[in-house]
This record gives sequence, structure tokens and C-alpha cells, in this order.
Amino acid sequence: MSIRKLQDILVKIAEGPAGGLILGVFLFLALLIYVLAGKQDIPFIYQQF
Amino acid sequence: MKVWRNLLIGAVVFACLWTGLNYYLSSEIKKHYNKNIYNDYGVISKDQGVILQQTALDKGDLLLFGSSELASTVDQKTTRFFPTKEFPYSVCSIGRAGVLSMEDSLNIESLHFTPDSKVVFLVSLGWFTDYSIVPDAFYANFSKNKFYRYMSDWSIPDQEKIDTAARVSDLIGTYTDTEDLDAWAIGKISRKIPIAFKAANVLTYPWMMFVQAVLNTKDLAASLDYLDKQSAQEQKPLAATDWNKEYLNADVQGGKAVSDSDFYFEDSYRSQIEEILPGQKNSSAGVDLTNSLELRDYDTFLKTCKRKHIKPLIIVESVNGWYFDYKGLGKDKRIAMYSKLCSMANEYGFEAYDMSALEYTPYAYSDEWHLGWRGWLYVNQKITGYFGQNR
Repeated sequence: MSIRKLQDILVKIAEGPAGGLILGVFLFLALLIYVLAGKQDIPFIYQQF
Repeated sequence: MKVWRNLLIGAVVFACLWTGLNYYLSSEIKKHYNKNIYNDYGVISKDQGVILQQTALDKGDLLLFGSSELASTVDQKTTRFFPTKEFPYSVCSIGRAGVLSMEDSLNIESLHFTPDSKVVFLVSLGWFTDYSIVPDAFYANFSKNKFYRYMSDWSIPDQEKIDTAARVSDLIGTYTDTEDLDAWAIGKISRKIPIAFKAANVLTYPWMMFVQAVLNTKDLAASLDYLDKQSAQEQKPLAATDWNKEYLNADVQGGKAVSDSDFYFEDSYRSQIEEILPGQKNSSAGVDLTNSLELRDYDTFLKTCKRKHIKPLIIVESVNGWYFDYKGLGKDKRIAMYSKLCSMANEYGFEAYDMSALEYTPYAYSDEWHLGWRGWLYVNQKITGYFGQNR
């Protein structure tokens, strides 16, 4: 898929009636992944002391 | 036009979902809160997070800030000793090896206190020996969330922020694998262009607020995860303290663990350092305690306490006198330093407990400078007296 096509699809979604909702949920999922995936992270340097 | 409308709707949906997540996590933390965590040492969500500390404060319990001495496993350790009939509050320890005054400043800046908040700081002489300021240790305990809270607080004078930012950028900048490049950059910019600091602070403010909000949610999730792993909390009946009996008991326990009559080191510690002991003789003879950069950080920390309207008890721990004499850091230098640290605290209106009289007390320290059986008891007795009289 060319970048142009992908761009067209994204613009269609963004302009569509549920575009805002999709964007909001997408951002929230990104946050959730960051928070949940990182919650167990203990930096290596932390374990050295 | 439609795109702009949808972007706005997206932002609103995102904000609503995020607020809902925070609300859910906060209410779960309230449900699962457990004081078993108070004695735990080396827990990242307790030391570097804000939520668990704030919850302990809100419950009226005492926050005990310290560093490596909190790893102690003796029965007399403050977190294990309380609550008692005379001091019916639990004690939550915050900090671990490598934590110094700057981390304490950023930490208390991030908390909300009331006039009744009970806060104790353990200040170690080891912080002021020039070989103790280790950038790696600083970074291991560094919290970007707390640094940004400090930098985005408008009540802090600009010069204080510039000094703090410069110190933080120096310390984390020397740790090459830093993941907090933005914090380092903000610190560096503040240092390089102090005249334009206000503008830089305003420009970076939205970023700092956004990062704080994300890290706050992460803190909530990590705290809940940690609380979920705790066993059921036990309720012990409060007993009255017989101090004479406690000191006798501490001497018995110390006597069992110590057979070293040179320095009164705990046997396990003595065997650890046996090999390097001859090389330690007079190794600290050249140490100049009064020249330490840590003194400036200690002053910033006292200023922060004053600004936050808290009335902490500052406990200036002494060290093992026999061993420091052996290392060549003379008694006169040490006594002068304890006195300086206490008078600095007094100048800000805080009570300081000078533990210098315990330098040659057997079992007060278990190694060169970590509190031992008797040492912790003196701290506990001071806490009981101080908060009993003042609250």
C-alpha cells in the first residue's frame, strides 16, 4: 500500500462521522499500552543500588 | 472543518477515558491499601512514586525519609517498632541507598502536607564525604515526575529553580544511558540561560504538565500492582513502651550479632570488609566535609521544607566513632559537621536531633554508619517525645 493510499484512508476516517471517537479511543489505547506495559519496568540502574 | 471538529471530539473522548481510568485506579488503591508496605525497602513505586507516600500522609501516618539505613532488618527499626501506645501511628519508610538531600527536596515538593503531617528525615554524615556523591546513584533514584512538579511550581523563586535544575542536569547528565533526556535538557537550558529562565519555564510548562499527567497514571497503575501482591494486613494491639527493657533487649540482640571488639561491627559486615580493612587506615584523612556540594543541596532541602510549611524532625545520624578514627576523619571534624547540620536546621526553625553522643556507644551502629539495635531505639524515643509534645 502506498503512502498516498494510506493518507487517503486516514483522511476518510478523520472526516467520517465516527472519526473523533476513533481518534479518542486510539489515543487512549496508546496511553493504556504505555502505562500497563511500563508499570513493571525497573530500570537496570535502579537495581544496582 | 470536519477534521477540526473530529480532532476536538477525539480530544474530548480521550480526556474522558483518561479521567475515568485515573478515577478507577485511585478507587482501587483506596480499597487495596495495605500498611504492610511501610517496612518494605527498595520498592520503586513507593520510593519514586507519589501516590503511596501521599496516601500514607493522608492516613495520618509518619513518613520516615532516609537512605541505606532503611535496609536494616533489626527489630528496633522505626518502621517495625511503631505503632505503640505512646505513638499510635504507623511509620512508612521512603528512600534507599544513594538517596541524598536533592531527592528529598524534589520528593517533599511533590506531596501535599497539612499542619498535622508527621515527617522525619534521617540525615547521614556519609552524604557529605566527597566520595559519596555518585551520579549513578542519583539517577537510580531520580523521578522525572517529581522534578517536573518542582519546576512547574510557580511559588518557587526562579533562582532556586535554576540552581536545582543545574544540579539535576549535572548529576543525570553524567549518567550516559539516561532515559530522561528531556529532563536533562530542561535542566541544562535553565542553567545556560538564567536570564531567559522565565520564558523557558513558560514554554516548557505544557510539556511538563503533560508528562506529569502520564507519569501520574503510570504511578497509579504501578502502585495498585504492588498493593495487589500484599498479604492481609495484621492489626497488633498497641503496647506501652518500657524503654529500659527495650535498651536491654537491644544490647542482648546486638551482643549476639557482634563479636568484634575493635569497631563493634556486625559479624557479617566485619567479614565482608576484613580484606580491605588494612587499606582503610587513614584513608579519609584528607576529606573536607565542609566543602561538600551536598551542603548546598541540604540547604535547598531545608528551604523546601520551610516553603511547604512542614515541621519535620531532622535526625542527624552520627557514625561509628572507632572506625572513623581509624579512617583518619577526626572527631573534631565530625563534631563540627554535626553541629553545622543541626544549626542549619535550627536556623530554619526545625528541631534537629544530634546523635553525636552515640559515636562510641556499642550497638548504636551495626557497621560504619548504619543505625544498629541501640541506634534505632534512640531515634524511636526521640520521635515519641517530639510528636507527643508537639501535636
